[in-house]
Amino acid sequence: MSRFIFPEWTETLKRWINLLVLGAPVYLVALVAYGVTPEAIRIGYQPDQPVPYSHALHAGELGLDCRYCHSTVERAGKAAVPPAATCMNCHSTVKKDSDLLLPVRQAFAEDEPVHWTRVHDLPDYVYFNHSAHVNAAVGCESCHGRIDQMVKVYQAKPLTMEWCLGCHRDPTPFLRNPENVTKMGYQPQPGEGDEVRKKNGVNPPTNCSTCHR
Amino acid sequence: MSQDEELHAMDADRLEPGAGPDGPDGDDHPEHDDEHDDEHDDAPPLADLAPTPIHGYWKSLRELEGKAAFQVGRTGHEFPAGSDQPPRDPLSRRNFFHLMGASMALAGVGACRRYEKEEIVPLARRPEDQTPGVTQQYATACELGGVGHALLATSFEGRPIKLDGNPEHPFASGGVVPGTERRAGCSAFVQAAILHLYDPDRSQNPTADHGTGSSMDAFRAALPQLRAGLAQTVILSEASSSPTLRALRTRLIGQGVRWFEYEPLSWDNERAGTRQAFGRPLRPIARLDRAQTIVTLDCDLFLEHPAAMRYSRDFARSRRQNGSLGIGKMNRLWAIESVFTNTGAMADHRLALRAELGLPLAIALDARLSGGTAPAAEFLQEPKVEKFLRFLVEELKANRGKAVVIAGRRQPPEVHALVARINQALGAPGATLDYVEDPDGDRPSHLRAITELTRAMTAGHVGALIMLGGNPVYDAPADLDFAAALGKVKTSIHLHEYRNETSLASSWHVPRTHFLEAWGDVRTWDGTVTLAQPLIAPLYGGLSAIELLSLLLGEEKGGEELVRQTHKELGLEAGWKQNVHDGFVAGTELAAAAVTPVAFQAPPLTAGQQAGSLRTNGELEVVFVQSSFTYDGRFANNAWLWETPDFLTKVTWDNYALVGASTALGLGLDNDTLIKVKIGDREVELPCYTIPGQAKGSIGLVLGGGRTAAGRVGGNEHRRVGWDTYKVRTTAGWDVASKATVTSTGKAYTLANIQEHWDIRTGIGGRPEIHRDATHVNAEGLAERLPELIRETTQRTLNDDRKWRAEEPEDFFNDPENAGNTDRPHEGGYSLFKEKDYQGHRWAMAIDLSTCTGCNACSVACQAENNIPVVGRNEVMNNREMSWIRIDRYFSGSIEDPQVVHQPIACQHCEQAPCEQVCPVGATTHSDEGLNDMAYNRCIGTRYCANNCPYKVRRFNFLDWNKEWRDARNKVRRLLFNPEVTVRMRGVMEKCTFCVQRIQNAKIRAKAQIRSGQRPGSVSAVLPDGEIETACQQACPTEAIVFGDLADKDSRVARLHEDRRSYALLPETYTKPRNRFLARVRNPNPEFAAALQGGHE
Repeated sequence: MSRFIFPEWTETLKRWINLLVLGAPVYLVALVAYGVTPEAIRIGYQPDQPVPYSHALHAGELGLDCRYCHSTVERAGKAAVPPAATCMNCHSTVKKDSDLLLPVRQAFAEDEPVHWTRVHDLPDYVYFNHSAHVNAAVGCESCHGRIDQMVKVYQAKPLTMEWCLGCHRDPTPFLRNPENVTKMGYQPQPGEGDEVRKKNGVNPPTNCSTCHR
Repeated sequence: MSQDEELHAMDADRLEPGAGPDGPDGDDHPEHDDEHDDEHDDAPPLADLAPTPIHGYWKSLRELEGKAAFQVGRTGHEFPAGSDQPPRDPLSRRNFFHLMGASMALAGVGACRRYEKEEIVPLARRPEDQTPGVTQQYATACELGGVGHALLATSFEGRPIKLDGNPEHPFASGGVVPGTERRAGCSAFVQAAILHLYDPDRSQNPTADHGTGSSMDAFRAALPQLRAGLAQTVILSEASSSPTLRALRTRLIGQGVRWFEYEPLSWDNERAGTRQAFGRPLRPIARLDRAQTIVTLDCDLFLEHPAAMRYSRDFARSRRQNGSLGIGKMNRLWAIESVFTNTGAMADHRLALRAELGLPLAIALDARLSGGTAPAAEFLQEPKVEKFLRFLVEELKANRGKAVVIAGRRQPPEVHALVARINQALGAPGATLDYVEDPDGDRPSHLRAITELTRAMTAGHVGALIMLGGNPVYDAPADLDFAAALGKVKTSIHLHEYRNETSLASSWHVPRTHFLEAWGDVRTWDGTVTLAQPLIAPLYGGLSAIELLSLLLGEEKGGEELVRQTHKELGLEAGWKQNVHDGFVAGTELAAAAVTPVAFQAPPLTAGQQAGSLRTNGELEVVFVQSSFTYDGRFANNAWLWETPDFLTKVTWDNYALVGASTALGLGLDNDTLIKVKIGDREVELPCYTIPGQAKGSIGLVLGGGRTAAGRVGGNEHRRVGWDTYKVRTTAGWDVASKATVTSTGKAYTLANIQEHWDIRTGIGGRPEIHRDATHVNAEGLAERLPELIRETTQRTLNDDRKWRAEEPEDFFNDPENAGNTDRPHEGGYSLFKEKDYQGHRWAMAIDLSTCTGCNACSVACQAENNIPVVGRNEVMNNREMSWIRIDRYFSGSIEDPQVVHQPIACQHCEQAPCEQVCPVGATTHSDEGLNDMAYNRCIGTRYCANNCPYKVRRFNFLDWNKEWRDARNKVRRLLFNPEVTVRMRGVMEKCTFCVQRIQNAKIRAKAQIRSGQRPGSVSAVLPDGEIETACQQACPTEAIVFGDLADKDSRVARLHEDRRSYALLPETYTKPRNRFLARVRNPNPEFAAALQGGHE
């Protein structure tokens, strides 16, 4: 019996198989590594909310200022989600029978809060303060994206430490005239950031204790 | 004598008690190590220690013998044994690797999800003044032992998280004083009281029929029957100063109710004493800020006194160099006491004397000051006492109108009367002492009240007993047998926050609201009416005392209505809102009393009082001491207090018998053994703590341990914390008991004592391979090192030697050759590391050792502010306590008459921090403002930093101390966490941050206000001095802790850093700490000091 001789093309196959065997772990590691980055996991996070509140409608189409509802943003760490009472300022007359607004009306009537789902969720050891940033004239858009175009809010930026530090190291591109802080889609004039930075004395610290306590 | 010889000499003394020159004649001494023969009348007196050599600083007696943990063992242990052992929990090493394997495999998967879904739950209607995420402060008040304390409560989104003193309150803050901040200290007890609000062990519903569950409705249904029998009803109340309670009491007494009041720790003797001296009970309030000479007679001004916080403050004011007495002057404190107290620790001259000798001493003092015959008492002839008295009297005579004498709670009424007469002779009233009318002058004493009540109960004269708070089954005098008497009362109702011993013995128990849950009013020690408003709705339901009384009167009024009604009756209705806001009603302090002394006779002395200071066993005196952990037992379920070390003994989680060094030697008692204390036919077994400086022949029994129904922390039937010393406290020996016998049981019992933990002095004095005798080496090293850690001077030196400085500026590094090379280590600068250049704020702290009374308020404040966990008794013994501030207590001088220095040590925030250089992951780094930052989320727990910290201030989370808070049962406890501070997990290092959360929030607030135009100034400018207060600074009653910005040259901290008393710890290490201490200034009487010096030569 003559010996079986592998055809020549198996040499090529062998090379491919080797490549696959060696390359697969690399690929898998790369895939998983990318898969667990905040960019992959967190950007685009868009949970359902008890009321399908549309920022696109209120902030975009109707042009409500962010601070009408998030009224504490300039003086507190939290840009508080408004109480149902704020919704009822308008909705006691506008769309007052809408089924979609039932949870809000119920909350207002029974004095029981609406349970919203947090979209922008920083780790518990991070202490972010809205008033510090808004008063330093960083636009809402810089961290939250085009809220005025979101029917259902999602996370637009990675909100990672690296990303935070990017701005803390060089805040100039993200500064704008204070009156435009809440304006969406605003393009600062050339030199505006530098000017605001100088005028406001914006010098963001990059110490650990700036955010971690 | 060298240090070494001294140690040997002392050892010899310890081996042969009584062999010294002052000892008793040597024919019949007891062997100090024998089991001891008790109760024979002709027992020889206990040995007296030979005059011990004067030592430098030391922390414990063990250390003087060269047996402290860090002295034995070849390397000198930096950390006690056990601290580096693997955690004691179900995770064995094997399981750990199993789990590790699994978790490595699943690590990637775990990351593939977001954090736990979180909800945002805004209030449906936001209250007008509330901003989510911003804390609010409200004035309120609490009461402890019948004395009101004005508080400022911090509330975060509707949950109170922190208590501090109300700085606006006229008595708490002492008004506006130039040069000091307007601040009110807050005692450790009051700070820790907030923990009880969220305690899951609190009683949650009424019980009927001795423990059967019941409901508030059932209790209300039972009320009409109770109302019908009001004439047979008796009310036993805790002491209370509440005007509302008083008004309700008057009405109830009108309906035939009999009223009794009982407190186990009471200042009734002072009332009785002033009654003897002036014909009516008065309340003396000392003005320590005006006093040049302060004399305490068995009195702890800074912890036990009802006005302790105010007294601390006033004392510090006249203690400072440029304080209330004027520039270059400071007060002088003379303390005569049996148990070593913090007042004794602060004293310039201290005389340790049995408490029962207070009477002959007061008579002698009175005789010398106002003329009369000194009593015939042997101890007065003893050279030490005689000399002390002679110089004291001379000084008092020279300081008429500027001196004050204060007697303590334990001293009998006669002593208080004599002290009143002495103060008259000194011209104190109106100058250094005010008398005010007692608000409740007709009340019988607490001891008499409880005696009469128990008698009536036993005789069956009590139809129904209503107890408002208190725990008489546990703390009433043992000979009364209150529990048995309670069994004879048909209906007994106990109102209390906890279902305690008394609740279990009562037919009804009704939960009481916490003071932060109810309206109320109290009076501070000066009588100022102080209002308490609730900060939270009752978590577990319940009633306040005034609400229960209102129910009893058949009205069902709420707390607010009741308090407001009282307010109206005081004619203050118009100011109600403002007064609730301020927390007090201005101008309601008690009226000053004009006093006219009446003649009285001092009682004859007992045999014991005529004797010398040496006692035989069986003749010993026992004094009952307030617990620094539980007060009188009521804080037994408070883990914060249990784990805060006692001021002097540094013991945690226990109570004990305090035995003086010579007494212990004579009785053959040893530290860490169980002893038996027998008074009459009652006895108690408890551990012995040998303390230097305790009076000879006097045993201090600490109250407040051994509870059987306190809760999960404080103990139950099966597991007790501490020992029940009330068992031997009888009506006859309520404050001071005599004829006690003490025997050693020989059983070992280790107290969880931290005094040798975290010792800065470890590893000093050379290496053992060079000097073979490790003990010898360390002793020498100590002698050399300690005066640098603790620096002291005298008032005289400061005044006479203008050039005196605690620390020669940079003498260690003043090498001209290296000048200017600080940033080039290779060229031989001071530091291996680059010097930092600070542009903006430079946060710093200064701690004044002269005014630190070691009261622990800072320590508990830090615990509350920074979410510091407790670890429990076993882990404390493993050196795993987490407290960020430790107060090092050093003795100096001889064993019989030591002096004490307290030194609070937290992170020193070194500019060249050794910890930062060794962190492999950059978890601890330096901020631009000079803070030594700690990023918990980066820490991987190598503990290199703790190892490299020369000050030993870093604390490691060996176990998951916060694990239990995740239990559903403890859900409510989580509400207490300060949301501004991360709750740390296992495996993470932590330490003092200078309250960085307060710094950041103040900066953010200031900048936001400046940028939005609400506040003038520039964002790069310094903040006003005092805008940022650390938690410890805020709590400190004496303003010993000052925090601020060195960039502001006019800030208090910058000025204190420039003060000539200021010095840094371990300057030779070139760590450049941002925390500096101010040297302790003592103010001994110059002639007396000279005489004492002479005596030692």
